[in-house]
Amino acid sequence: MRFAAIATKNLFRRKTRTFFTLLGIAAAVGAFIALTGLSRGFENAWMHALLERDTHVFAVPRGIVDILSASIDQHQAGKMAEVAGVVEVSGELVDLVDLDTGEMIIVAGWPLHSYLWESVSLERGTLPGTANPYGIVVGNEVAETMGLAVGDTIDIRTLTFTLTGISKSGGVMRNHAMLMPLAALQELNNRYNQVSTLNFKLEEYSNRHRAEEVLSLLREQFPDFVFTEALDISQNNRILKLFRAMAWSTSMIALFIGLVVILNTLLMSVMERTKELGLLAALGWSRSRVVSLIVVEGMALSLAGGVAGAGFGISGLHFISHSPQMQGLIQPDISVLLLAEVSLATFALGICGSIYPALRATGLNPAEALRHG
Amino acid sequence: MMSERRSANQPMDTSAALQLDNVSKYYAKNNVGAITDICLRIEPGEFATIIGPSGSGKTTLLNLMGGLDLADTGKVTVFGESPRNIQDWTRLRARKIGYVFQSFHLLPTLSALENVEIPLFGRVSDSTARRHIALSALERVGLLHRTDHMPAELSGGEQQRVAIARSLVNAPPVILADEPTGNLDSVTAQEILDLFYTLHREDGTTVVLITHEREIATIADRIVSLKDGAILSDTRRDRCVSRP
Repeated sequence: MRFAAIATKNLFRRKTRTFFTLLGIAAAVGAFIALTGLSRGFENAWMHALLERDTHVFAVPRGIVDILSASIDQHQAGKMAEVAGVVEVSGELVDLVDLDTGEMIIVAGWPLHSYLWESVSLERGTLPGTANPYGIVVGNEVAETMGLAVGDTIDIRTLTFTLTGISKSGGVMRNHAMLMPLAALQELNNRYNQVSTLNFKLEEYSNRHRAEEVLSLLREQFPDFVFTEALDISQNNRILKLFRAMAWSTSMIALFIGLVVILNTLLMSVMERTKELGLLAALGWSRSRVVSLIVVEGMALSLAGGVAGAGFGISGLHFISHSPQMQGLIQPDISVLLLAEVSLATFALGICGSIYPALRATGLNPAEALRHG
Repeated sequence: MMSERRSANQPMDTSAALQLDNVSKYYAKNNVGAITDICLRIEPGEFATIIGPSGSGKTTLLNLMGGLDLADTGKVTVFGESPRNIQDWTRLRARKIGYVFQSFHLLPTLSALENVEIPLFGRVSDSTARRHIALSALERVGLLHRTDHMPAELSGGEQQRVAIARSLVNAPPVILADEPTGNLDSVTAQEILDLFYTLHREDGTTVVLITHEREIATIADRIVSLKDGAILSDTRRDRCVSRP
């Protein structure tokens, strides 16, 4: 018989309790995986969408948290483009639109001659042009979901648009997005001459010194705006920060609940077995060996719960990311790093949840322990 | 270990197997002595019984002899060693003391064989070797046919045999037994006593057995009577010199 077998046999003594404990741990670990995977997936999709457009710097009005509600006079783009070192500034209006299928998709409006259109990779059709002021491009996932083909018309609120092209991107967000000329989106939302954000392309962006100089000039001349480099956006974007913080805190609460579940189960188990643990001491088991036995029980519980939780979390994440409400916003991120974090968290749950019961169990002298009920 | 059985004539340690010098233990609540100023010397290879009515302090005395509890005053020595704390006593027990209890105390989730293996953890690292030693111990108590049975599937006598096998699996020079026949019928009780006597005779193991039945006590070379936490009589007179 191996040492671990004694621990695992103890767990099978109260099968129902062990089952519900495993369920509790699995729920905690599953919540951790789902929330963290969701947060990182959202961040990755966001970052991909920002980086694939070849924008070096973004600007939003100072104090703005929600980019959808940001309002910038589009003529600011022209003024900022005059700053030395800036190649081009493109305004962008962003909105969310509910489709007939129940999906919610992001719609971006770009000026017809913006460099942003150059980043669109078309699977079929063409980009909107001056000949198609109400032309739109949709991502291939949207086209597939809605059964759209180039040339079809789509009614959105009060306007009718013509599908000129279907795009395909490496990022999930653009495949679930809709692109249209800025003027059309402004008309659709009654937000004439307004944009949500400004996209900058800089000269010699690879020259860090030069890029910093241009950013300093922009910050100096337009103090009411926040200028953020695309690569730093995940660190500085308030929505992402908020999302990350919420995911982190909810995950921590879930893990704390898991910890309490293990603690409670092992504490009950240890109290029930006070006499047996006293017996082990009477038979010459050192305190550290008895502690190890209980810690191994905790580890076995958390390991099994962790494996089940990983299954729950991954399938939950898959379910959430494919729900109509979330489709296009998130590509689940089940990375090696996340799995390593989960393993570490599970390991920590097992250790932390069993240390107190173990120390409590070995605190009595053997004669006292053997007198227990 | 079982493979290192001693013969009855083999000399052991020259010091006493167990020596209690002016040992007292008080109940914490009212400071009444459970054991008061006991002096007792038990020689290597001796078979002693401690007899007395309920509440006379027999189990407390046995707990102090094996370090399951610590004396408030005085000194307990086992083959020349006097551990000072519970951890040191645990180490000593692993090497030198086997315990047998009235209510067997077998772990219900483990088979007879696995129960016997328990004291070997920490002393024998190889699981196959542990199994062989435990099998050998079970063979000695005549339970080789019940190795895979769970405690609930064994009779009281068989459970006590498993407990005895467990107590001797580390080949300790001392076995302390706390009313080992208390939960058994008279026939089974006699079988268990015979087993203790055989182990004592064949291995030269020092056995200290507690009972409240005088008939059972007569199996031993020596009978120590307790009353109200003090020695009332001892069939061997030279137990030790009490301090003035």
